[in-house]
Amino acid sequence: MRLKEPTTTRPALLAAGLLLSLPALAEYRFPLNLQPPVTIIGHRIYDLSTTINWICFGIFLVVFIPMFYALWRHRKSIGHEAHHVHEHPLLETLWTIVPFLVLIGIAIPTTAVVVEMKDTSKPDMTIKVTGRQWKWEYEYLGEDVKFLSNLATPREQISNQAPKGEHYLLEVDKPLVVPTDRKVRLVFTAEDVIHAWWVPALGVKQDAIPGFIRDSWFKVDLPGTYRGQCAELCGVDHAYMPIVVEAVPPDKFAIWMNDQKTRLAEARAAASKEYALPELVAMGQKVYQANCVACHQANGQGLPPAFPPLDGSKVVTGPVEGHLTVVFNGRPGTAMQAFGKQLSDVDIAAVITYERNSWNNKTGIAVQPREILAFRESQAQKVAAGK
Amino acid sequence: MVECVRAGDPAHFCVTARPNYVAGGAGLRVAMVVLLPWWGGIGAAFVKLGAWPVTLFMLLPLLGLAWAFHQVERHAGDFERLTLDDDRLVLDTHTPDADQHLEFNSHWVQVALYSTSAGGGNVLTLRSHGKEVAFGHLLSDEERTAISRELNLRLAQIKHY
Amino acid sequence: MDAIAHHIRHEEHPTGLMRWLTTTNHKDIGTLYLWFSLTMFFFAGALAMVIRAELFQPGLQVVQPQIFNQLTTMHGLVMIFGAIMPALVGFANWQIPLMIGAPDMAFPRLNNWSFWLLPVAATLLVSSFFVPGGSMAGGWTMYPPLYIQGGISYDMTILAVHILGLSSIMGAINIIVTILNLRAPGMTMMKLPLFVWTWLITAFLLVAVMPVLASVVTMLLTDRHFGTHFFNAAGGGDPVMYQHIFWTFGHPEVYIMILPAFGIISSIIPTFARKKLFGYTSMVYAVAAIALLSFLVWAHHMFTVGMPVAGQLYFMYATMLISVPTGVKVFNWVATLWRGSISFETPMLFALAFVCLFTIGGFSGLVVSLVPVDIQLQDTYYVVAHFHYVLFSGSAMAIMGGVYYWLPKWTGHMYDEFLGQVHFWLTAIAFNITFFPMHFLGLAGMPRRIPDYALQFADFNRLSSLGAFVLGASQLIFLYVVVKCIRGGAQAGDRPWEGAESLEWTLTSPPPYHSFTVAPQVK
Repeated sequence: MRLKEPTTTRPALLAAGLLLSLPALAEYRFPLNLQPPVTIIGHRIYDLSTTINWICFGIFLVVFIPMFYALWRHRKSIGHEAHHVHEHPLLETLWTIVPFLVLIGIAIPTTAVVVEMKDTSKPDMTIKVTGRQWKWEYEYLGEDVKFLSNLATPREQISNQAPKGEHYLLEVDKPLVVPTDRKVRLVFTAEDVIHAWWVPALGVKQDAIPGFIRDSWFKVDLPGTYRGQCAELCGVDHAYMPIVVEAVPPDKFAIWMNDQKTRLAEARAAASKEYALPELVAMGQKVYQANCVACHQANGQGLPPAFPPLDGSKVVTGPVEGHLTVVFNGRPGTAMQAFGKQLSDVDIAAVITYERNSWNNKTGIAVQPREILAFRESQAQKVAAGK
Repeated sequence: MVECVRAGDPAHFCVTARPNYVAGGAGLRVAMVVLLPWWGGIGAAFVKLGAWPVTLFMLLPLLGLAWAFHQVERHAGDFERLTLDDDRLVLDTHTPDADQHLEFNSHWVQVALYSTSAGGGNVLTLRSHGKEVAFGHLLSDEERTAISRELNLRLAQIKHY
Repeated sequence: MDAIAHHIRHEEHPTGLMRWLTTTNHKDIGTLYLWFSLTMFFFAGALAMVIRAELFQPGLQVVQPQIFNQLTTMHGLVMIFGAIMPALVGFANWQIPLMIGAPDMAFPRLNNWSFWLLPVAATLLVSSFFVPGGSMAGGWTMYPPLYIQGGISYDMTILAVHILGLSSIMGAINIIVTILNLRAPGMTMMKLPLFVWTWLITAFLLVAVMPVLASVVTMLLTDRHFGTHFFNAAGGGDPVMYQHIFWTFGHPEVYIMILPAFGIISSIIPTFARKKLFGYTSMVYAVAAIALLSFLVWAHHMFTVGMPVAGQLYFMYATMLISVPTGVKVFNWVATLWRGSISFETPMLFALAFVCLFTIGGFSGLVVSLVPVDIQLQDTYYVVAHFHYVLFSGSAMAIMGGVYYWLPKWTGHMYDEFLGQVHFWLTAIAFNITFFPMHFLGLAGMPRRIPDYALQFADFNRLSSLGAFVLGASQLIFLYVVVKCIRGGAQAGDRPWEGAESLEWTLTSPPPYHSFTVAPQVK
């Protein structure tokens, strides 16, 4: 008898322990509410959401406690007879008017938040956000700083060949850096299809629509890294275009901005440099990983027929001019984008060289950035002549 | 709706089926009062936005609906009448396009009810001398069943005389 | 007489497949619709199983993103147009003539065509998986410019949508005319069973909005192939206009799928509470109000598109208003139960689950009607949870309840009550395990329509997938019960449900064997 005692209490203890650790577990593994907000709008939304959920829960109880009472006490199996009442004008009027009043009660504070969140006037700075398949481009208006932000999670993690990192799918090569305590206005557009820029902690979600400009704003309270994702289905790699915003104190932001400008100047200088073939291939592989691999695949086989193979492709192994035209201008009506507007001359030169010297493609030709620059100028002339 | 007239003896019986037509022309008017403002409002808005095909497409079902109500109205006076009069069984049908008058010999005619499917649909026919005519387009399955039973009962009694 | 007899001979009792191809009987066509719907339900359900298998853990395991997008798109499209809508039309075909005392639908031949268009459209949709590039992958909402990028299957989808639209419009015209003009004398409008009322209003919605869908997909087609620029920003078009037109169709479409379900529930609850429906008149007005409001709220699907403040506020207020008539319906159902004499057969269990779970879907609808909150929740799993609560535990479970309720009428046999209840409990529990966690996923920030997700979403997704597998498997019980009931079982008798009062129960089960010889009298 005595020996048996521990075996009965041990599971009970274990259960109690589990139960006690449940809230902690819930918070860590089973998040139950919106992400902690770091902007004023984010806080307003969080509070509204909490309020409306409690109201709904209250109404649920008001409606369903009587229902379950009826289901329990007015059962036929305990011999309850039906009382034939089919109308009750007062009750019916009440349950039309009372919900209406509750709605008005909800609508008033909500309206204030809507007005506040739509007020994009008097920003301290403006950033243009352009959605592309499948990356974001950020341009600090008036600062001449512009860069692309790509998914940084390695493909091996996605295909389960490597363990997944902490920020799996929510990490980028270059985050959007913003100052805290400044009203940042974002203007949105898109290059190809509709995307949606969403960072939950900032309380901002806005569709980026080709041909149209939309705007939104935020003012971050706390320095930190905030992560989000594209929220509008935009094609194959919709799941793979995350957003990372790094909020830093204004003084650090100023330093970062200066650094960016210096680097841009360096990049411009780099474009006039002559590169060796292996150097270009190595740089090109990185560009390919960031921009091309989703459709054309790491092995260059593509996913025919939608995404053609590059390995052995006539365009890739043919004249540089033809290859460049496709990469530069894209193929209208397909997912092949015009990379001329997105990538620097060095990047284009590198990726073309990589494609022409990888897999079974052995052209041995190194395309130099200055050739891209020449092509870019000839294209601009063509457009000008066309007009 | 169905009207049955029965005499005391088994040899006299008349059943007439007519389509229900309770709302008359009001049906179409109600439908249009509901749909035309919608078509006009949304249609005009979309023309203004440059999406004129919407307005065009929205018109088509309205025309379809008008056609349908017109058809119902046209056929409102249709009837099917089966009269059992001693040794004659007379089938009269009337539609706007054609009138039909068929006579059968009560001693020879056979009334058959075919089940068209497990779901409960059926077809009622009159057969005589290798010919077969359907009766009861304006009846429900239940009514066809009932009438075939009653008719068979009466015909059996006539044949036994 | 020879000629006439010969003429008639051709159309009478064909056998085999021809009999189903040529049938004009409303019951046969109702049966066809219901079987078609069940087939599509299993097909689209199978797609959902693959979706949930892929989402079982982070990373890509089962399908690649391109296929995943095809699966989510086709799951939505087929469930809406192939499973839910045809099932409700099946109910309409079976029940409306019986309930209003009409011999058949007003246009039996048209009715036949309406049905046989569906398998054509379904074949197009299903076969589009096998064309180069695979099936449509742009989401069931078919937003351009993404839609413009697609291949041949996108054109097949447009054609299929046209055919489905044509079928729905013909069906709706038939139903409107039947209900308005073919009622038995004495069956006045305010005596119509609520199911008939909901279908009348639904048919009006169909006639009003299906052509809008047809036109918008036609514009997509001309944008794709004939050089127009309705939605192409590069050519001066407006991709947002597409969304306005689409949701002008899309929001009433939501009510097309739920109003007849309200009608089914309003038939079941009074039967098993052994009381007349509480507040019949206000129920009719509530349905009409919901239908009317459904035309005025479309842009609440577009809060993140970026509208002026006034636009957002208007659509928010109008959307919130819908909860008033919807609330009236729920209150009336609860009041019908109050002081009834309640029993819990399978149809009633489904109806009660409907009332609770649909209300949860209604609440989450109220939550996302608030613009600021919707900004966080738009295009997340919260929305996925919301519309599965209204479409699965709403429409689909009402349909299942309706099938159990009327099967005895349709087949003449009682279904297996024990298995029916097993089916119910498995469905209800697995449904909640599948979809309730999705609320939390959405709140935590998981976007919808993604094949792969960040690690913090892993646990809820695993739970959800497990629920989905049980939910999917339990539907096989449903199939078994239905087949078993058709093949035999205890005789159902005239009125298998003692509390049932509407006209169809005054006929015997199955209908053809005995009947009234004069038109039904409506008290």
